[in-house]
Amino acid sequence: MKIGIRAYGAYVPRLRIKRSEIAKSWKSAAPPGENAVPGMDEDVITMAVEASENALAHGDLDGEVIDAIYLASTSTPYESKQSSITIAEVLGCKKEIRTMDVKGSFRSSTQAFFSAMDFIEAGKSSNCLVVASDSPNAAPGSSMELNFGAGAAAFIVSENELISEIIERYSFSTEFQDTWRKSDERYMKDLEDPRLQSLYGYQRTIPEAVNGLLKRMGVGTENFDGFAVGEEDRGMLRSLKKILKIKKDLPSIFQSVGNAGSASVFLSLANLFDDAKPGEKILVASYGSGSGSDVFALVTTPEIDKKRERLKRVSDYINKAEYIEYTEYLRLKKVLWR
Amino acid sequence: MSEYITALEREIDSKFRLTGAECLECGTINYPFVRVGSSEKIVCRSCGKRSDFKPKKLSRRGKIYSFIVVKVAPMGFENEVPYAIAVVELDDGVRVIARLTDVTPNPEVIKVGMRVRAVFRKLREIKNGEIEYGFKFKPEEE
Repeated sequence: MKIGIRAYGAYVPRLRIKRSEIAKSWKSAAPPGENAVPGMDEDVITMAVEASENALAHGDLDGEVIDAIYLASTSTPYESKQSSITIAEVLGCKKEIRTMDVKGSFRSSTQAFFSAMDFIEAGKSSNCLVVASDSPNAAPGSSMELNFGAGAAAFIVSENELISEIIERYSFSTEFQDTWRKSDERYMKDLEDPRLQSLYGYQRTIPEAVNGLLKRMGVGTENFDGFAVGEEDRGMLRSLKKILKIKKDLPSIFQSVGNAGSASVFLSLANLFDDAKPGEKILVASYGSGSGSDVFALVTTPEIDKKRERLKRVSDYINKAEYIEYTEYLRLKKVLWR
Repeated sequence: MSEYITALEREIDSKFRLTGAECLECGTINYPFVRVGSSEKIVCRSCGKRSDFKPKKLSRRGKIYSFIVVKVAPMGFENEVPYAIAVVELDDGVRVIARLTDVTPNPEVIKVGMRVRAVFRKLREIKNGEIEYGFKFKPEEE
């Protein structure tokens, strides 16, 4: 039985802040790139709805075919009260649907994805919508503020009309805390030691997971045409390329969207799909503090070309940007009120 | 009584799915519409009858028929001025009133006849913390 992705869609908010604009206000060194910022009337639910609508349109599907919705996020508007139900209602899904908010980690997206695969494998469902939508919050003036962006991406996991088939998957978990947010706190925190964080965090966890997968498949990284990674900072792709001996250029979503939390890895995969030819092998790796990584390998099918005319590309959203100043950014983040 | 905005079953078609009700007495498409109590009937705003209806998904695209820019907002929206409200004529002919979003609220930018599409957004947040969601319209991408 082949399980894979039937359709996908993405969303990136129109508003952007240049990292140099944030740095200017704090008189700190200005890193390149920019971050996406949800507008006054946007949140995790609205971003997830647009990404999911794009996914349904891409697959030429109706909301009624969805048997389960998994919403992966670390910043749902309500801490208690399911957000995935709102998405199900807007998409016009049937009432007999499994809805789930998967939270607490930036790797919640891939964990939701694996759960959807299990659900289908168990024969309980034929189409699951897995949508990651996130807009993590950092304290004003913190180093994380320079990295955090926002966005959403949705995948319809299914057995039919697949644009890509999952070949193998693997998870790795080990206790390590580099970033966190306690339930009574508003902002993410980190160890304030980027080198220690990356060395014991993603530089250890992702290679462990990737090597576990490659060993199981009996291949090396040279067998893959593309790599989708949930980027957390500017140095991540470079260091992973070196550790995993990847020769290919890795396109960066982080430069134009920022760290979109649990949506980062999905946005990165959606961006690869936008230009992927049939038969391409792609390796997907997420990372979440705690810490752990989920990886999976997939291969694209001829169906990916057939569905492309209904596609709304990630770059369509990235290229539509309106830049804001830091005071407006703080207003949107509800730090300042007018 | 305190204010609440919970989307009730009987109005969720209009609020969350941009669905109207076609009156089976006179054929008028009512939007927004609210079911009478828990029944499967509406009171048609055109013929005034308490009638059966057929749900009708409205077009997500249309053009601006008329608009205004709000500079002095009612309570709860003070933080959002200026913003624009429009009458949008959908491609199926139904006219709906909604906020415009992702556009500079300025008559130099917004034009009658401008193509727009429906997007699901936050409408407001009330004092008790409840968030109201619904449709707004944004300029259609070229």
